[in-house]
Amino acid sequence: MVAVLVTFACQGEISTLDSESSRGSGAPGTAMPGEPSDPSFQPPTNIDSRENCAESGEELNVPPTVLRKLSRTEYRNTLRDLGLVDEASAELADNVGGDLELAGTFAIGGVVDDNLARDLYNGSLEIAQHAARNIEDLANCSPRDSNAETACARDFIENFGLRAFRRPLHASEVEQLLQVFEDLRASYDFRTGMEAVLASVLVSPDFLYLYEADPTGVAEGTIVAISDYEVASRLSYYLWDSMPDDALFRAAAAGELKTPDQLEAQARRMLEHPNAQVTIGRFFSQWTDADRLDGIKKDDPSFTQSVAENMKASLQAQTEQAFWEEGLGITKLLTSKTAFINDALAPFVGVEAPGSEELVEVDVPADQRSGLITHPAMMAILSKPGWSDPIHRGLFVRRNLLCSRLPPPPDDVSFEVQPPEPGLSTRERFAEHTASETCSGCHQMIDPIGFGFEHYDATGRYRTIDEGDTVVDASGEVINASDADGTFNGAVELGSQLADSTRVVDCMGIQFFRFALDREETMADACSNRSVLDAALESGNSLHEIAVAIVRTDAFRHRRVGAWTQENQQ
Amino acid sequence: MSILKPWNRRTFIKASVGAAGALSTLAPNASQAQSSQPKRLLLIFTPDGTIHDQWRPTGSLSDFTLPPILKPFEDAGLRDDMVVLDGVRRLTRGSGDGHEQGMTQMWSAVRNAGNGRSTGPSIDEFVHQRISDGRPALRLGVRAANYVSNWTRCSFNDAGNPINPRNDPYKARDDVFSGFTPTEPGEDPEQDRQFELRSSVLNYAKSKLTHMNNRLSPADQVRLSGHISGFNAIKNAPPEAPTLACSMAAVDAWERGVDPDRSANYPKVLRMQMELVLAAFSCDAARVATLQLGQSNSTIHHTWADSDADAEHHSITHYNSGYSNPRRSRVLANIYRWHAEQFAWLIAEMKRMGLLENTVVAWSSEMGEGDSHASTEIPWVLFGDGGGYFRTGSYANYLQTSGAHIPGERGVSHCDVLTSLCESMGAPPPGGKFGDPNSGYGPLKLIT
Repeated sequence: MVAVLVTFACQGEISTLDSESSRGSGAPGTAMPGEPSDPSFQPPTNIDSRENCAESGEELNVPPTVLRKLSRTEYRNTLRDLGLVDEASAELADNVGGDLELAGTFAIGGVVDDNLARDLYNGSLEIAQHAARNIEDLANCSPRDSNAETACARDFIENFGLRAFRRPLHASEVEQLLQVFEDLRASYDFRTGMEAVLASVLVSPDFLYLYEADPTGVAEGTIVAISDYEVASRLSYYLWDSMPDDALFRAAAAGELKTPDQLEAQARRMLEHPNAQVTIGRFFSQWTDADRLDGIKKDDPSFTQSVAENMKASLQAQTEQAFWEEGLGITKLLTSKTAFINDALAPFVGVEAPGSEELVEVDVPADQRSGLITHPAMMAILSKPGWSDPIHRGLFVRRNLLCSRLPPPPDDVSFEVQPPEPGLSTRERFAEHTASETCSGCHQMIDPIGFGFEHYDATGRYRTIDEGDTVVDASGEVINASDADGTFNGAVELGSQLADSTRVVDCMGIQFFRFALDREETMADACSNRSVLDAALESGNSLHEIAVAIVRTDAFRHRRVGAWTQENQQ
Repeated sequence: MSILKPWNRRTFIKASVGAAGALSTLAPNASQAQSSQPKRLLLIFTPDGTIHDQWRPTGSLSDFTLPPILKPFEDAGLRDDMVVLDGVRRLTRGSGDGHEQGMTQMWSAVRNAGNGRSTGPSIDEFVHQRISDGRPALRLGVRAANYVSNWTRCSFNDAGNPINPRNDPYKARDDVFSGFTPTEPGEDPEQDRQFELRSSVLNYAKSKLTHMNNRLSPADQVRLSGHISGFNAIKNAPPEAPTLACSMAAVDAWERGVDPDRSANYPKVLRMQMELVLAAFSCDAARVATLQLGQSNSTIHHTWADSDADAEHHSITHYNSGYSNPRRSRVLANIYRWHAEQFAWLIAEMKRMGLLENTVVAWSSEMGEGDSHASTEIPWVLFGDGGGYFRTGSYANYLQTSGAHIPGERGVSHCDVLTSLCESMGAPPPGGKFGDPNSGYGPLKLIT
């Protein structure tokens, strides 16, 4: 039974819910993106069914959003941008973790438990205690009498509160915080009052969560434009992993974050800020799982920790070049015939040492390398310590470049794969995957892509003989991936095949969509995803333009009132 | 944290001194000791299964020989304090592969909900709510992943939200043994100021949480639930004075600045976390603890267990597949045996300190065997009789025993293990079954 279901799910890549899985597990409405309440539920995908967009007549359609806690990175950066950098805030930011992995790639905020609640409370008090020593600097006033103190406190509450909550405070919120101030000042002094206000703001859920309020008097299911301040936060946490800057707050106050053009102008401005470089770096490092290179061990002793570190830097340079340099984009990412290497990396790429410790861009053998997908860092990440790993290489292409959804393998299936032995090719060792009915449904979509990478060993070196001493056969095929389908011989051909496919452009748009909105795409996002694809194609498959196009989408600017459920993702 | 101070240590020292004499009288009068001791539960997790032919005892229920992996317990004089459960199966189902389902269902026995969430509480939380009487639960980790996913978390609150283990023993110590203790009003002006400030901030936080919660959808309220209960648990008050033999010496003697994220410190940090459990249990500062070593899909290189283990533990389980490979089997067996040696030290210390009375320690993994991700033959070993609940000194082989475990099949549901653990803690689950009622059959037979 399991085998049949798995086969079915993979072959069909069904993009609508079957009735079996939408029944729910008795906890309806508790699911969030990528977090189905019914375990057999696979989130719907729209990548295979663009007609849904046309059918809807371009009618505005978006799913609801969910309450989202700041991630560790976002929390740390936000404290920094509020001017609260010290040991206590660094320690608290570390503890705020417990991040989730969205679709197995991007880190998003998780939930608070007992320990974190205690850390938030004690940490916020400590940060406030430190900051209160120089409260005049933070509050930007030095009152001389009690009336001036109250005015100063009110000023601080309104200004600091706006930045911390990322929106103007309601009058009642100002009064509540002013009461906190007055109580503590009455018992002690101005400084204690301000310290209490600051700590209160920091422990507030309005600070910790990105919360988009439902407008009053609007029926459940209605699609509304999110407020200008909420747009400001969506922009800043997307492109900077932090709170809005003054320019964004000013634009929000002026009501200038409404139209796609206004958002695009902001996005272009923000992408030029150094913060965006770091954030785009996070996109690629999480998308490629580059951190796996930290402490990676290979059987080959020449693959040292220093080599791994160089590979990581080289991979970063390769992806960032494709993103930032005009006219490159996805084509460069997947077909580049240059690489950023130094003397240590030269043997792994198969070129002469450039005579440099620093990474320099050099030509690589055009018949052996094709951008990111054959980069030695990727090949090393997607390998076992002693041999190539065609399954995970195939899965990377399938999930990260083609956005296919594949269910996990069923329980109690033996994963026994014969170890390399003389005379046995990699392909033969994995024959069971495509011979068995239980496995073949998915593995026919994975393995034939993975075998295309057989020219690369566990350290990323090019080879013609595999671990079994047999001549490498790197022929492969992509199926069930619309215009990326087709046979190829070796990863260099595969790179071109992928770079020429609309499916891959579409998928890169979806990757940025997930990164921007911290959720997976749904059927209701079909038109939003389509608009990103159109912009990408028009720009010559530019990654930078994909990143910009995200902010113009309906999904980026709207939300559906009500709770996220499986039903209203359609 | 500069504001926080260790709890008044004088109380502990006094208690320790007083207990030195009391301790020697514990042994001859065990029933008296039992009645004065609270119930305690420690759950230990090690990842990625075991090597069965070196884990499985031979012999019968009470007359058995321990295999190499479990031999350290015999060497530590614990043979008669343990129960080996053979043939435990996971019948619960959910989403993900054996790593993912195994990890999220191991202690919760209900379907998992994806993204590291469950659909109900784990037994540590269930028991904690019933026996801890306001004390915190110790959720300890040693190099457990700092992100939440289906294979990194095994403790959950009632809403199924994951509870993160503390990898840092110093922070974990402060969770239990430090806090803000108000002095008598007027005694210390700075303490008075702190007390009023802290109370004010706590009230504000709670009022804002309530306000936000009232405006959230039910689904979002679930997401906020751990935050609210976490703040409700915060008190600016001293804990109850310890009444038992309180042994803080090992924790007080901790080396400073051990980096818990550093791979080479794994053995040292494990020892510190175990010392913390002993301290917390002996001082009755906590009654429920979990110890999560790494996570499913373990990335730890256990070179201290075997010099050939210099690769990710999980990778090794899929190495040169099959039991036929002697090197893989040896390395994995050494990894599990090394852990058994550590746990044997801990449990022997508990016994020596008179703590094993009324305490149950349960060591389990999320799957039976790492290469196949098997949901059968999951290694579970229990220590301590929980105040007479378990018949210790037993090897319960449910594979050979036909009977009312799983109708028509061999083995026993892991739900039933959890049910028995709850019962041993005096916290029987409603309806007599913990977790998914369709996957469980009631408390364990043979050894209860």
